[in-house]
Amino acid sequence: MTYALYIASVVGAAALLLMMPRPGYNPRFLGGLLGAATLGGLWLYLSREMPYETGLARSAMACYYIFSAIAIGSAVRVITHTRPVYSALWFVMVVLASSGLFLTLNAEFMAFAMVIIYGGAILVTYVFVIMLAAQAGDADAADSPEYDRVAREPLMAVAVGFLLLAALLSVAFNPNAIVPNPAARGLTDEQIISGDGAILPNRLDAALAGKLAGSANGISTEELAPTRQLHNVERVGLDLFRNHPLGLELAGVILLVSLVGAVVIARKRVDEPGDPPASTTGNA
Amino acid sequence: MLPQFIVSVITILVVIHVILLSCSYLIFLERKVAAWTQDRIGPNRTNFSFGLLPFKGKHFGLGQALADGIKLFFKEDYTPPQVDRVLFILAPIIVVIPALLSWAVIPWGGYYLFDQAFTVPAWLPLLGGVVVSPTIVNVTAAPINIGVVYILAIGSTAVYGVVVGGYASNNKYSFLGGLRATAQMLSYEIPMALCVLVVILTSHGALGADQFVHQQANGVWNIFYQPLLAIIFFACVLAECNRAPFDLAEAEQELVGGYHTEYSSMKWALFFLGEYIHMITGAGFFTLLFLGGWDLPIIQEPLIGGLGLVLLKFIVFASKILVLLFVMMWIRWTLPRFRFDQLMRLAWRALIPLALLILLASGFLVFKQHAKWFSPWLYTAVNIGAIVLAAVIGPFLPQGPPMNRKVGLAGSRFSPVV
Repeated sequence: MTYALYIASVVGAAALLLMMPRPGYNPRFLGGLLGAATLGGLWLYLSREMPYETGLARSAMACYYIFSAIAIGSAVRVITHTRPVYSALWFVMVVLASSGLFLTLNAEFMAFAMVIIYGGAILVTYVFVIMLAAQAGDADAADSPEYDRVAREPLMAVAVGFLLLAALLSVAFNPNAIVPNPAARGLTDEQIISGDGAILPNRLDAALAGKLAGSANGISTEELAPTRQLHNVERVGLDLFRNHPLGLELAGVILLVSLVGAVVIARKRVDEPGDPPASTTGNA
Repeated sequence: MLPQFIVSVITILVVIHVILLSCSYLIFLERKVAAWTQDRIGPNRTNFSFGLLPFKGKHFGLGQALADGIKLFFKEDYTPPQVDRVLFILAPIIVVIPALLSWAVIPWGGYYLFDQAFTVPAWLPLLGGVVVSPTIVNVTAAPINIGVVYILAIGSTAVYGVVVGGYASNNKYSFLGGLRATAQMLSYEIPMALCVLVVILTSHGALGADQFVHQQANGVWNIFYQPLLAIIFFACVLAECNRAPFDLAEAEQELVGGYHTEYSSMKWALFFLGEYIHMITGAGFFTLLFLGGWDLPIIQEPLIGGLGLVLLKFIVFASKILVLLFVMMWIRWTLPRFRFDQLMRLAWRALIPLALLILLASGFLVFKQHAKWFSPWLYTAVNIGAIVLAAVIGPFLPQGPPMNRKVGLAGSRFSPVV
């Protein structure tokens, strides 16, 4: 199976190379066809030869394939499009499709946090900067600058990128690593919610489920089981604070330092003609 | 699973039609509110005949909303020659999609009990023969347990439509409008998220939309515990929908029409629709977090009931939203527009520090919530304390460079030359 991944990497690299923008004749359609065929073949092969159960429901599996296809296709457009604004917008598509992938894996918090941070903050700033640099009218295909129209060193870039991909796949595509060991999770949901030394004794979910079941005849609390399990955010929070407190604190300190640094940089005063002298208004 | 799916589909169908219709009547209401504020009468003549149908009378001018819509449909849909054609068409679509998506998690009608077990008729494809046991369903489109984060996430993508529209128009005014909108939305997302964070923190870490309502229905509405926070949140909602006094992105005196200068006909109408849907979403979000959702004060309503209770809850929710929308319009026609530097200063030097202060103090109170002296009214004390602190310390803070100075243009009476 490893060899199939390697072959797919090589063919995919060739397809991407064909799609790269270059002067003169562009075999973009051919490259796209080759890339789609590679992806389709790889998925077909993997779905038949997969030696283990993924644990995804059939509907989630379908969504998984759709989101993956959108993410990969958009990612290709990010690096092959000749106009930076479109590249940035395709990047937004990559982020949205990846958050869809997280949703199929029941990682709702990761999905929406990614949309908030990448889609709503970082990429908006990208688009902002790119739009300041290039106006809509002057980026027509004929007279746009050469660095937008022609990819620089596409062969080397594609070779290095797919070498890295193949190396990562051969290490990370380990069937045993994907399904987590249930024994490694420590406390069960039941122990965390109720019982002696419960960490989250008065959750609103549990109270609400009990009240709902109490006010309707014939519905037991067990039927509302989803509200009696820990949900994704609680799992993420518990894992962060129980298993990685040092990393969390360090990340907080680093973010604070960068915040202070941003304030220091932004405080630099630019003198304009006609301004009062800097000494009277308090220079940074 | 299946009952929830059926209820979700019905909720989506009902809510989407109610919203699209109410948007056109919100424009009518906006014109009426403007007229009342300015001591005029406002639109009161258009009836439902439109000169073609045999209706008599004035119908209180209620035909005006439909007439506006018809007018927009029949206007020329003009695309200027120098625009970026793909993005120009895409921008109104990007505006409307997030606006419609945010609806999915608003808990409109509480819960509904499917108390009869039934079997799906066998002739139906896919679902034929499935047995459905009695269960409780949420009257909302998507009952996910992370609803508030979902609204924040979808709201943060709403800026793209404005930015892309401003860029694609290939017009300096539109572009400036787009840039202003980006800076404004990025800035006001921060205090908004901080407010939501405080409310989540003080609601025992609840994230599902229905849990907030449940919490407030059993106790006191959050607006009484967190009055200052509610005001900050409402200001952020106004800024996120580009409403006056935060409508810098479409300031007529400076930018012609802002990011939609080049748009006409239904494309322009979609921008307008997006703004109004955002207003309803923002009001719904505020109702959810601070005004107790479908909860009626004083009356202790049952959690689960029949269709009548669901409808009643829906009406209560919608009335609260309507009141908030009226307040928004009232503010728009009363307050003058901010200058851009005032707008930025308000976000970064007033709203964010205050929200951070409340977050810190509320976090401490939540940490001490099992202590004997703890009472939720301490949150109110914290809010009032923050107001007092801001009023006392504010004048002594460094003010920054003077922004409103007179520029000595050569030839003017302020010029040092002449």
